[in-house]
Amino acid sequence: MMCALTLLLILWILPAQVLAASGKAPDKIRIGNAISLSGPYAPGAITTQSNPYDMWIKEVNAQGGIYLKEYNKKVPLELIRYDDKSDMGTVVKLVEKLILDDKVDLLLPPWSTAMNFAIAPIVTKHKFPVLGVTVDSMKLKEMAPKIPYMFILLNQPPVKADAIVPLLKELGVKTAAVVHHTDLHGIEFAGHVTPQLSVNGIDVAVYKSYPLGAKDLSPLLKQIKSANVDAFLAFSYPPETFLLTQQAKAVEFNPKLFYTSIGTAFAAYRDAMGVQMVEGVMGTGAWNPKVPYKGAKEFWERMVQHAGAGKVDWYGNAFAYSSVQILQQAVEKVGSLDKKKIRDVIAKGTFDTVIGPVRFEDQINVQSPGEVGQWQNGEFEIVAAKEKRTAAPIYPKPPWP
Amino acid sequence: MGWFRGNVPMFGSVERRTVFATILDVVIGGLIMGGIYALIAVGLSLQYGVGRILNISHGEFIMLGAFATWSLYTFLGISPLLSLVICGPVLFFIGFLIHGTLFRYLRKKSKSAGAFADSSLLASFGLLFIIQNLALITWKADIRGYSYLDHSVSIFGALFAANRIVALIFAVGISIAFYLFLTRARLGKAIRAAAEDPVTAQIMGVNIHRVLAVCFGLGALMAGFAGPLISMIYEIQPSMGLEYTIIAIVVVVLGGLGSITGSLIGGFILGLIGNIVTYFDAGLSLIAYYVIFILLILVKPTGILGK
Repeated sequence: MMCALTLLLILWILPAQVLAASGKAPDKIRIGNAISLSGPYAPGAITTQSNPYDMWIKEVNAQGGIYLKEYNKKVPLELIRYDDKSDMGTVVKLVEKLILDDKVDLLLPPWSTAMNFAIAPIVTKHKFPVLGVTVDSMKLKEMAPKIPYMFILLNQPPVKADAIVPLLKELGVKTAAVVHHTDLHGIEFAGHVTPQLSVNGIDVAVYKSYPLGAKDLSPLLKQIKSANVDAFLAFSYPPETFLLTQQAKAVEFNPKLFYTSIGTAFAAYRDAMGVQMVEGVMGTGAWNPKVPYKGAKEFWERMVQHAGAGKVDWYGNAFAYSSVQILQQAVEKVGSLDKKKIRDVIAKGTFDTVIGPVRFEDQINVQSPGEVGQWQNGEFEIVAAKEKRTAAPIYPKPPWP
Repeated sequence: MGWFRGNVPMFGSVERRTVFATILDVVIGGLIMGGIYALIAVGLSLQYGVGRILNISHGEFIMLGAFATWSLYTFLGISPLLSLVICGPVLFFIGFLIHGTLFRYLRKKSKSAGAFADSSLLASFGLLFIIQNLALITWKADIRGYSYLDHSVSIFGALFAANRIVALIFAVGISIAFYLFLTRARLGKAIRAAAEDPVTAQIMGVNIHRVLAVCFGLGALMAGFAGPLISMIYEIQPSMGLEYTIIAIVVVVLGGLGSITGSLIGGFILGLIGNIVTYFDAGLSLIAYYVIFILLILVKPTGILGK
């Protein structure tokens, strides 16, 4: 009797994984992804992240899957995706459901800084390595030790901002106007760049904020126009990037340098305005297929074919794709789906990707393919930092057509 | 904060821009926003004032109009102004059908006017999700936009995008035509009678079901006019609707619930004040809307022209 009970107890305690590992290979690697397919985050989430993820899964499966040394076998991927409806509470619930109910093997991140912040404690609790892509905040550096399973691909505001000032100096900009939205991204970015401008002898004639959801920014632009500055820098989200560009043309505000941040690199931005109109417009973060990294050109051809020429993101797509390249390389190196080992490999390794050799310091990627881009003949060229240039910057920007 | 020179004078630099041009800038800019707000709000006001339906899905009809216009312009090259004539009637018909089926059924099943107000509010929430998701399936969640009449127009030295001026002209024209329809046309009078006293109107021979369905359809018609105009000015996406619904609700309450003229005035007041505040400090523009709203509710809870 006692023996039987002990045996039962041992069998019960014996973790399921141990039994599975000693058995045969899994027939699928289950990948969970809660991301915004509806709501305000959806346009960015689909353009930047879910499209390249889908393409990657298709590519890996076309080659039979990811090779797992432990079973000496290629195992295909299966994606389980839920719509978080752009809601922070929902994304948290869905990620927990993916981990506990669907028992996924790996996770892909949601879109936006706030959503990634929201899931960080859960993935840390369940020890799931997650390669966050669209996270843009300086607060992360302080948080990193508390969330060791969360990695960030996108270059952070200081990296992208630090390239702006040397570029402006090189081009001979004397005066600038800075505007920003009152969300974390705008506040951090503008707060970082503006003091540096002054220190470097560039006079900041206007420094103003506006709320998210602003519907008419022409009064602000007219004021800046009358201040007659060389450079206009806006730390904006996509809706205002579109609005500021259209209204700058309408009020005939033609600074020598026109810079807007998020959304500028979207093909949708170029297509909505027209190639001629966006000529010379600069935006934050840059990548293009001319970068000297292995597979970049081929990746872009496949990306454009997969998503459609009008739906690619000239910046974020490469980052999202590089994140799954890293995940794949890490899994292959570990040779199994041991999440702790995968995490450690990601934390310590260097990975060849379409954005270059990625390495993490305190879980934040230190490789940056380009910090400032500029539309030239319908292509988003890297113009800063200087050594990463794929084209010489056009300055002054041609007037609006 | 001594590291930047935040000394832009109140009216721009006077030597370059006259005070007159600046005032024109702000006033016309405000009228443009106001015209669009008024157009959006009139539709909602009619649906609520006559039909007692607080239509939360109003903005979704605007979104449908905007996306239809984008599709017609991008794929077939049809001018957004022509789309106005297409979207309006199509959405009228859709609105008419929705009321004739869904809301008529709810009205029949509701024990009281209050119960109908509740159930129709919930039903319109349902419509919001259905329409938005249908749009997501059809158009995906990507941001869309196009350039149409985006060159600048000078009005006594004040510069505006041509598409905004066109939007203002159409918004004002449509609003006036609509006002005349309500006050002069036979059907318009029946609508107003139904709004005043549905029971008596019915006794006097007004087919109340038809009038209510027409009213809901007219609300959708206004959204069908606003959608194409908005798509000329802003980038669009399937989740844009609620933002416009909220603006419409603010304007309708500001103008007085159910008052069409009140909605027109409310729209222009909101647009003007919003633009004046944006001129002095863009950061306060959205706050200003709600401050006006709260102040008015405190001073005159029924709205500007409410009874």
